[in-house]
This record gives sequence, C-alpha cells and structure tokens, in this order.
Amino acid sequence: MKIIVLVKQVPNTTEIKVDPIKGTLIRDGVDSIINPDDRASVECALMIKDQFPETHVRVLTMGPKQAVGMLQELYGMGVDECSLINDAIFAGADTWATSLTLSKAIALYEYDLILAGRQAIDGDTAQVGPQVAEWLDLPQVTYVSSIKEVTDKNITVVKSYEDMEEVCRVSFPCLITTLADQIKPRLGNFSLVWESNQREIPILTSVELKADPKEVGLKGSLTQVKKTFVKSVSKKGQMIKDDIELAAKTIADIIHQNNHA
Amino acid sequence: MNVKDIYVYIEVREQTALDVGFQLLSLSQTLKEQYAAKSIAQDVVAVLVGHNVEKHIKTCHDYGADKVVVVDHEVLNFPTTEAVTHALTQVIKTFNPECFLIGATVVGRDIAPRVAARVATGLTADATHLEVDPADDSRLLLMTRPAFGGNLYGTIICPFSYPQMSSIRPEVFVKVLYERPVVEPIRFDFSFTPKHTIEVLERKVKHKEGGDLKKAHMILAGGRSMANHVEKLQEFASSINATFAASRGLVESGKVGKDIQVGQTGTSVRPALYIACGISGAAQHTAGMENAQTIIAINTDPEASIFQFSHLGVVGDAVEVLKEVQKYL
Repeated sequence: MKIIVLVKQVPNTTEIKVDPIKGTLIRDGVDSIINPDDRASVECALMIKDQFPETHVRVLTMGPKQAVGMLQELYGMGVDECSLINDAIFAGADTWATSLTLSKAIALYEYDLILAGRQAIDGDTAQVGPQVAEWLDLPQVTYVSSIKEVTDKNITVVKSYEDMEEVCRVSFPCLITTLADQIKPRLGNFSLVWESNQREIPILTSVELKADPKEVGLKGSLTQVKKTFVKSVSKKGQMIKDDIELAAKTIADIIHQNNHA
Repeated sequence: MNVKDIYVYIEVREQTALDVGFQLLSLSQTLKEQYAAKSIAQDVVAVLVGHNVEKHIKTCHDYGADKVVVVDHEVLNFPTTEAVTHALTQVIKTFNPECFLIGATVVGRDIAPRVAARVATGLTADATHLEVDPADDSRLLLMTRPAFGGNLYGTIICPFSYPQMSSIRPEVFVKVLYERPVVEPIRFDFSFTPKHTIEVLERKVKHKEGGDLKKAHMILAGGRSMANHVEKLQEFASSINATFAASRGLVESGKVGKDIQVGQTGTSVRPALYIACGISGAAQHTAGMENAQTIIAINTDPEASIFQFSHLGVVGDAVEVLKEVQKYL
C-alpha cells in the first residue's frame, strides 16, 4: 500500500504572546513544531505500516527550508520518504493555491491513501485537506478520531461530529483528515533519528511541479489579507481582592439573579 | 457576470435544522442593510438542503430569509460530502450569489472547501465579524477571523471571484426574529449520481460529560491549575445548575474530556453567566467565551489576562472562594 501524508510545520501558538504596548505578536523564542493533527496522520500511516510492513509512507510538506529539521524528525518515527515543497513563488498562498500546489506534488506519485491533519494550529482553517481531495477528485472523510480497520481495498474509520460518532468505510483511493485528540504519536527511534541526519531531503520546486507562477503563491490566491491586527482587549470590570467575603457575597448574588432570570 | 443576493446554507441533519443557519440568516439581514445603505439591493436567501424539510421554510423566513431555495432529496436526509457539495455547487452555478455563508459545523467545514474549489472562488474560514466594505463603489465583504490561536486577527477579502464565501462558527451571531413574510419557495431540481462510495456502518450519540455547552444558561469552567480539583468544581457547578466546562489546559491535563472544552478549538459559548476558575485567559480560550453576558473570573494571579474580559474579577484561589460562596447560596 502507498500512503502520502501531508504535514505542516507551525509555530507553537500556545507560546505566542501579544506585546501589549506595540500590539504585535511576540514570535521570538517561539519554537516550530509538527502540527498536532498532522502528527496524528503520520502515526496513522505508521500504524498501517506496522500491520502491512510492505506499506510505503511518504511525507510531503510545503514550507521554508527550515522544515527539513521536521522531516528528519519524521524519518526518526519511521516514515520511508520525505520531500519538501519549496519555492519562493509558493509563498503567501491561501488555501486554494496551497491545495493546488500540494495536489501537483501528490500527482507525481502513486497512492492509495492520503492522510492530512484536520487543521493547522496557526491558521485553523481545515480547508486544505478537502480542497486537495477536490483537486484530485477523491472521496474524503474529515474529522477522523481513529482508524478501526484497514484492508488492501478500503479503510474503516471513526468520524467525530459535535454530538455523534460515525463509523464509515471508504474505498481506496481516498483522503482522510485526522484529529490529534485520541491518536498518540510514537516517539522517534534513536537509531533511525541518527541515520536520518545523513539522509538528503529532496526539494520539489515549481520546475518539478510544472507550476504556472500565476496559479501558485500569493499571485494564485483568490483571497487576500486586507489587514491584520492584534485584538484590543476590553477594559477591566470590577475587581475584588483581599476580601473573600465581599467576593463570595457578590458572586452568590449574581448566581441568584441568573437562577431566577 | 451579474451576481446578486446573500445565500445561506441551512444544514439539516435527519430533519433537524441546525441553529447556526438561522443565526447566519439574521446576520445576513444586517449585511443586506449595509448593502442597502450603498444603494445595492440584496435579498437574503436560505438554501434549505435535506429531505422532508418543508417545516423549516417558515423558520427560515422568521429569522431573516426573504426567499427560500429548497433542495429536497432522500440522499440528502443526512448531509454527506458528495451530495451536499453537489447541491450547493448547482445552486451557486444557477443563481450566481454575491455572498455565500456556511455554518462552520463539522459538516460545514467538510463541504465548504470543496464547494469553493469547485466553483473556483476563495473561502474564509470561521469568520467572527463580517461587514460590507464602507469604501465607495466597493461590494466587498470584509471577513475578519482569528489566527495564531486567537492572538492575531486578519481581515480577508475575496476580490476576484464570486461568491464571496465564508464559514462562520455556531453561536458567534444570534438569531433575530425578523419575521419576513412567507413566500412560495423555489424548488430546486436536484439530480445526482453518486460516484464516491462511503458506506456508513454506524452512527451513535457521543457520551457527553457535561451536558450541552451551547445551550447552557450558566457555565462554570476550570483551567489547568484546577486539575486536582475537578470534582469540587463539578459539585459546585451542579449545585447552582451550571454546566461544567474546561479550558484547553485542563483538557490537556487529561482530567476531563475534549467534549467540554470551551475556546477557539473547542466550543464557542454565550451563556448568561460564565464563571472562569483558575483560567489565565489565553486568546484561544477567550475567543470562545467572551460573548457571555456576564463573566466572573477567579484567579490567584492579579495580572491574569482573563481579568481583561471579566465583569467581576476576584483575586484568590477559586476553590477557596467557591467554598465561601456556598455559604450565601
């Protein structure tokens, strides 16, 4: 079986803080991580490889050159091949241009299954997976919390809705997006990590993808960012400190009002 | 191309119409007024997709639809990716809407990207604020959304293609009783040959720890620092008929399930009262609760950013403070 996993390197958004005076994001010292939902996808691919050892797992990522470090970490987890999609003209892409670029890269290879994280923690759009499926005309199952069964013809997964779970079976080829919540990724194997440092990571540019500069990156995007801003927070309300009795009475009063509203 | 009107997808799952569709119809009435102020006439059109959905037509008008397009077919009884993508794509190609809004539910976020790609237009995800560009001669929708865990906001435009599409999370906007007159619906001729086979083997209701957060009148939520006091908070919450919820930090501690997480990556809520216990107030969290009518925050750190959002801030240990509150209930 041939599996392609789409992975993104992201800033650890839980560490990002806002400079309250300048009103900008403080990104210094914020480390880059493998997007958690994507890491779950890698784990799913490797679980399938555990079951069917002849499975080939290929990781594709689009991003700056520094993402090579992340790919080496993924070799350490046990993936077979990684490629970095990198070209100056790919920069600034919205989900439309990103998904088109990824689809062109995917089309270079054979695959039965494409796995991707549901969404990335920097943009949180959840759009790239379904749009890749659309470009490639594949069935998709999004919001997958676990994989139940894999055969050589199809995959059975649990899809998570707001208030419901669905077990469904989809034939290959297909695209699945995964949730990080219930899938615990394995740690890197030390000797694989060691070997991976020696491995060359191939770079796919617009030449390999035969991408028209007009259809990728910022130029190829259908949406534009008009402006960005840091949210101005509202003024503080009433504060109580050092008087637990006053605080308790006030809170109880507010609860009473709401219980009788 | 002549584009016109604001279309809203009304998601129906097994005959139940989701509230977010009605919330977006009401929002669209506001956008319609903004367009009208620029002498651009728009109608608000509900796209009601499902099977046996007649009973929802009046509700659509009640919450702001001027017209209703009905796409009724048995394959649409539960919204699947392929069938709904096909239905919405056909509707867009037939009517050429100026704007198209979709609730960012699990279903909405599954189909909206495919619809946008198929009709070759841009899509903004999870917008939290929409307005018509006030600049002269502009018909653009300004779609503002959070990114970087809610630390940064971006205003997105879709200047070259139609419709201008956005998904919007449930409970970000409220539904308003506009009571638009009921008119004869436009029945859309839906023909569909499925190509992708996805076999559904089972659907079952998820076990929820904390009741339905969205409908909760009062919510009491704990942060990471409350990991060893979850039971006490739950007891207190049930004693005042509040629903218990958690920040991402508390969910990550492993003490509670993801189902009760409030925040940008959890559930957005707007209860009458929200009591935040030991929650520092990361943007990720506040993005999901800042619309609560009254917010009480209890935190030992007087500089905690949650106090920037609270109507009443108490500096102290939440467990101690709530123990004291109990005396006055």
